[in-house]
Amino acid sequence: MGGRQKASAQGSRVTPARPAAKRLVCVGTLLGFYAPEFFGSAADPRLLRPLDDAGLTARFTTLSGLDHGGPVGNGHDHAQGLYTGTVGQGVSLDQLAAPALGRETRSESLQLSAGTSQTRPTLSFSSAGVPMPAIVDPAELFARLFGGGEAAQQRRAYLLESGGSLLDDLGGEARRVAKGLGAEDRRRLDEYLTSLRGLECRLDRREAWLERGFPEPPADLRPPTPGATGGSQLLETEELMWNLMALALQTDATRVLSLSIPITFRALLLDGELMDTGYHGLSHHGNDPKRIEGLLQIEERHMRGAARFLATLARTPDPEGGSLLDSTVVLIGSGMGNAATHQRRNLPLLVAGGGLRHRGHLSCATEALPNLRACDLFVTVLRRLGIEAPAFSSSAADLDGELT
Amino acid sequence: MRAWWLAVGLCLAGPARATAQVAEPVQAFLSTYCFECHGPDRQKSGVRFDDAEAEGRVSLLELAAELVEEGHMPPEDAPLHPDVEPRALHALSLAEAPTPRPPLRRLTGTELLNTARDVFGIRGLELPPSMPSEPDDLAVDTLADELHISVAQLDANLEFATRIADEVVPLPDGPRIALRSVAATWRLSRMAWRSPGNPKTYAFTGVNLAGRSGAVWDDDLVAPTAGVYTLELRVAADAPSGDDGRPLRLGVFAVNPSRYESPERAPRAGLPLLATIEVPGLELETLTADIELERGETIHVYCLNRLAPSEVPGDANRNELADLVDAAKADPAPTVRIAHMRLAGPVHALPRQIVLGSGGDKPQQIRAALLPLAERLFRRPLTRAESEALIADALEHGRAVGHLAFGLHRSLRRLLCSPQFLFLELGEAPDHDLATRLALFLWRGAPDAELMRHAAAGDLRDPAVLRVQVQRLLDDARSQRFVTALAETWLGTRRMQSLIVCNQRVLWSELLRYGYVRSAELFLSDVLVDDLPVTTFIDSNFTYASAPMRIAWGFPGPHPTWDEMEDRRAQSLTWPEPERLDLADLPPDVPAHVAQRGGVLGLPSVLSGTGDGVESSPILRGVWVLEHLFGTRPPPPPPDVPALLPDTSGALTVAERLSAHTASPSCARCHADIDPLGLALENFDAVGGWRESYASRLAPEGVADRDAGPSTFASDGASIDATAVLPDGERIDGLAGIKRHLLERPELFTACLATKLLETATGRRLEPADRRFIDAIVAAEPEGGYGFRGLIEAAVVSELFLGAP
Repeated sequence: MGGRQKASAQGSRVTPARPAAKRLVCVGTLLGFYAPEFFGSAADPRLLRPLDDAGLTARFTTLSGLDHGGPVGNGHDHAQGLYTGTVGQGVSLDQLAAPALGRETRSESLQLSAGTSQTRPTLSFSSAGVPMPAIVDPAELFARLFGGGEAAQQRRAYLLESGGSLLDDLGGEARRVAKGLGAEDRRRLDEYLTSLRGLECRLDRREAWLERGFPEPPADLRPPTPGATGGSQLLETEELMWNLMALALQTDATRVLSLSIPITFRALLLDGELMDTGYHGLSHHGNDPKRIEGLLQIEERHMRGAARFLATLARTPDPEGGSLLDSTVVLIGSGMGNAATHQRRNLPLLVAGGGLRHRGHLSCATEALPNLRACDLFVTVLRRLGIEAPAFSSSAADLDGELT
Repeated sequence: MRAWWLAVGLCLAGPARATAQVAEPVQAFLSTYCFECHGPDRQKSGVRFDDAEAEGRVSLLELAAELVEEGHMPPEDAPLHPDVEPRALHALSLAEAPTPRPPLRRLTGTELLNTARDVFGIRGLELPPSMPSEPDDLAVDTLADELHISVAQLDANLEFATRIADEVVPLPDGPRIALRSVAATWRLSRMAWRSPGNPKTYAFTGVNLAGRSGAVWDDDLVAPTAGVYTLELRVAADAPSGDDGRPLRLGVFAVNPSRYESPERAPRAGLPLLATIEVPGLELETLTADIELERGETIHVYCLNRLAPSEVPGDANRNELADLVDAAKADPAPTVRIAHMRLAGPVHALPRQIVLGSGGDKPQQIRAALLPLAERLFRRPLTRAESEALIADALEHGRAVGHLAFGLHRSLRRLLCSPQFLFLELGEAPDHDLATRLALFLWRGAPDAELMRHAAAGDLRDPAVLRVQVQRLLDDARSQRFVTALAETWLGTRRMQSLIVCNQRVLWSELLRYGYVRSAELFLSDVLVDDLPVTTFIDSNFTYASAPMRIAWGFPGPHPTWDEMEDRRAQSLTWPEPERLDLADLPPDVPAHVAQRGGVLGLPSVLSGTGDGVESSPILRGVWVLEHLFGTRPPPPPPDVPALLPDTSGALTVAERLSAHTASPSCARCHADIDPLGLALENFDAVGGWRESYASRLAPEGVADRDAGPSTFASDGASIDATAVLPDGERIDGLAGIKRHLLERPELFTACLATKLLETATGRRLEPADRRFIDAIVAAEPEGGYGFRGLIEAAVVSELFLGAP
């Protein structure tokens, strides 16, 4: 108890009345976190040690007792809804916030996955509930952040310019075609016309950003090798993704990120050694201490990446005052409460930074805080980001009183 | 059961495109018998008949007629109990209903890709990853109302168009895209060994399995751009002829190394053969060949006829390969010796690429290059004004940027994003719309020249011509795309591909996933190719199973372990392919359930598609059987109903818990039909494996030993009772009971399949008013029932497919 309680007392000193946070990072594993070593309510939980070691003790809160309600069933199938709060397809938190937060950046938002996976590797769903394809290759993310060379940029400029003009032509074409159509068919073609106009805006925006040029990558950063993203290299890929995410925020390439740590049945490479059992197999540990140990070794890597990422944000000043971490809400968790039993109750959730009033741990399924949902946390996060949100998805209330 | 179809019709009828003039007698009839509850004063269930001009009128009247016919209306407690004559209502209401026209819709992702492949012939063309994926659980994937188009969609489409334009019109040198020319010399794989006595040459083993053991493989050269490359070989033959009595020859195959985990072992089967080079000379000589490579490809070179091809097994593992290679080396058969190989290029463009020569008549070059492509993309002839505008545009942009290639590039992008390409049923050329509809239905791709000729000649609506075309399209290899698509929407293979299965809960291996998908496709393909009766889908004396599937189904051993099979797959890079299984002649010790696997309900992809990879759902399975075999579609449950807990460990059996449905009349209305069908299939677990009792909890520690088979999983839960009672009182026992029930009513399934085919082909859900077309198809059933191809033909010549001319 001791160490972590003190931390929360320290955390509560943060002044609540601060300017709104302006960045959002949503991270999730699809195979849960081992709960007994995750929540700050435990004595010295192993999965929080990397954060404590990085001096971040006062900068985050773990929350227990929260989930999305709804049916149980195959937790794997539903774990992707961590940030949508629903079993079906709704908009995810990051995509809801992206239009408001992403106005001034090159990319409104970026979706990432730590390597490829058999399943759709994304936690982000558009406002239409459509899964957003994730960047799985760190080399591709690197090119998105730093341009990818002069020739590529010239080619892009030509394609954007000529693309804009051809979309314009197509608008006229579609209006001509529409004349011969009945009312319903015309409505369907209107969707195309609306999309044409939307795409023209997108291209204009890309063109303006292209003209502004790209930042130089840090001298000590080697561009990642393309294509090395297979299932067993999940942890290496994840590490690169965490590092590039910090750079994305530092260079203001985007203000909204999501990172999915996908399911793989393969055994992972851990410090160059192939583990004995696959990641999914370890998640079904059946309380076997050996398997739990293997699982924790993997999950520790997730948290070390998080700690490095958060610490980088904490020491990078925000041009408008404070650190990047103070103005960035970072959520880390899983849509799977307990992967060993496919439980979707009591999700592991952690919120960091963002100028929230951090308190080490917040226990939610208690008499003082009954009937709360994970989406209540997300409502508070949205408000901290200056986005007026009476509710979000399956939310019933909010955690404003606890965290702001 | 038929009433379900109607109840849904009511929900889906929506605004109808056809409003019929309702004849006076109908209105008089309605006023007498129906207005009391469905008229100006009262509108029970929101239904009213007093507005004769209302939208959806025909469908509503059809529904009313059928409900009367079925005895559901008027209700028992209605004030009036008239002796109504439903047939009169039918006939009158439909008298003036026009034939519906297929709605405007966009191409699906699959159709977009296939069409582009058909038109441009770019090997290995794929949709960009940014293309939003369509849901994986659609029962019909072509519905106009569900094929929305978004900014993200159009953005991805523009990216796709750019990719194609890059491949078709190589842009000239300059700051934008430069054609890189490269050259590389050879590297040897294990196929060739240093010739004894001549250390400067290497010999082909002639083992034609994969790069590892059969080819000269050069991974230093990956074509930076599509084009023709020159291959130069310095080779000699040991003898004037090889195993087949003809001169020894080398085959050059294209490989895209990014598609393989270990490209040097890419299986040769399925690789495109680019060139065959005969090696007649016994002295070293230099031979050259032109090789057409796509961007990103390299080559594998094999000796094709040193050894007879039959000596090569399909799935040899690493050790077996090594043995084969050693045996081949020891074989005294003459071979080809190679001293040097060089690949360089591109020396010029591919035939499908457009390269504008210097000088000459530029507008004429543009016209010759662009117009044929435009006609294939629009799937109709262009008007004179359209052609002129297209050419003028390309010339103007090309001149403005400084090279006409840019004009072509932009015009191609524009064509590929145009409404004429992305949408069908634009109504600009009705006969060409029909040709497109037919090609998209049976090929999921572009109409070919013959279909376009018939459209131009205007005889495609002639049933005799149409029937010949249907059979021609089905005979073509492209009809396999129809099979794949139907397996995806009907037999659950699309969902199967992305289903997350918990291997700690059910017996599972990726080898099974592959087998489940392929067995459904192969089964469907057999019914189509052999034109088997449509009742084959209900029950058949054959099915398909791969070796891992046979093990999972409990075939007697000895078997390799799962790990050995996984290992073999990883090394041979081939998946165990399902084979046809004769269910009437099974080996003696095969478990009894295997004999039931005939028909679509025995396919694991069907049984998995309704589960979530962990638990089976008897309700969703029941709904699937109703919708996909009986042809009725229960409405979704009311929103406030709690889901049944899937935990099966309690004292209650699943059947007992489902019986809660019958307690409430509003649940019972649908569940009396649904639940028995689902319960009868409970012997099949979440991925279609056989079980006799429920696994009551997750497998205990130490389950890693999967080799012991299904019995490893804890099965100490309740035993399964697969008997159930249908609403009409018929008692069914398991899968066999459902099949018997359906086989006694074959017209139900024929109507269901005809409906599904026509919904896919026309892109719209059928409404009650369309029932007459389906009834006509069922009524025209030939002696002995429809074959699958016959039913497809009947659907195509139906007015529903043809639409109003």
